[in-house]
Amino acid sequence: MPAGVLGTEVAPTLLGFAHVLGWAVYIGGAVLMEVVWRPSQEHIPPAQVNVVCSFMGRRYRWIALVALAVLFLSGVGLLLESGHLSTTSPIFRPPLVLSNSYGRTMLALTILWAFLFGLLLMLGVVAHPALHVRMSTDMSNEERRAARAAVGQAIRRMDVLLRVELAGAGLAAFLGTTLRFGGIL
Amino acid sequence: MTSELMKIAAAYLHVIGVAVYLGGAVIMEFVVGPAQKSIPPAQAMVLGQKVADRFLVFAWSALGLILASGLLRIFTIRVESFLFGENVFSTPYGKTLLTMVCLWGVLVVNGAIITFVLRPKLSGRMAAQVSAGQAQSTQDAKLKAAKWTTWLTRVDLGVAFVIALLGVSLAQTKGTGLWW
Repeated sequence: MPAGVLGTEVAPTLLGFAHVLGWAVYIGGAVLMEVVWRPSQEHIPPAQVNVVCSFMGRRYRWIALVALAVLFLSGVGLLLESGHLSTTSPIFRPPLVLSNSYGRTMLALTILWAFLFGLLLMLGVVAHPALHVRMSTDMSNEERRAARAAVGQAIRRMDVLLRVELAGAGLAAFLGTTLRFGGIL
Repeated sequence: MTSELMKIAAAYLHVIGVAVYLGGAVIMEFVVGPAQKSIPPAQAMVLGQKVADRFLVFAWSALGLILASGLLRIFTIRVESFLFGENVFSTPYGKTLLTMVCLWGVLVVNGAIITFVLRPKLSGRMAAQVSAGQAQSTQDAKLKAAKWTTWLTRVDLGVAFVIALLGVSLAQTKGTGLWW
């Protein structure tokens, strides 16, 4: 075993810590929203739920986006540190090649990361604002009904997207875990 | 093959346990807590109690998963001598592992204080026929319990960060741990 650590192996440890922290905030946040927050909000009036959700949605999306960005940057840093990725040609070095299970798993993980990042952007830019439609006083009954139906549809779409996000995050964590054992694909 | 699968399963469950505890605590502190201030105090109190009740179940489950998967991980990667054998105090790996277990114990103790001492004080209802003095002292006790809960939760978050850092150091430094 190597002797002293401070000064020699601090960089990979800090990169690994940032990577774990990114995962923790992203997955832990997604699970908490699904298991803790959503059932709890049923106990307060819908108008207040709307206010809290609007506040939380804005903040949580940014935190989740930062967590995913930290994941990507620290992941690249870890690959550079381990020598699997290089800034000179060839950029990808064994085992980070498609002929190796490690390389294929890493490719799947990168695609999944891009999918989750896109999903988060969609949640923040499209799905979340659609939940908070304001009813104006000059709306006709027909327009109000249509607006309520649109919000109901947005809530259902949000439910589906959040569950897809949670499943994607769980799968990504699994693929990431297998990398330590040489990958799984 | 079975042993490889066990290693992967143990590592995956450990990652999920840590992610759920640490990530959940971060989101509770920086998203859910501040969000409660955006609604009237009475509604915020109801919401806070419901969220806290569910979060405690969530946190205890994560702590249990961390311990169970951690032990499974120790045995599947065959480093049990660093926790149960003579290598505990003589190697950096053993000392780091022992520190992690002790800090996990701190999380359990703090969790027990919050669950069994502070939460009952916070959720207790005031009787209808109480004097103004009794009502005031009950209110003061609740405020004190709320302050202690906030303080202990933040300590837990800090401890969880240190545990994660130590855990990563075990994996990233090929067994030397971060210190010693």
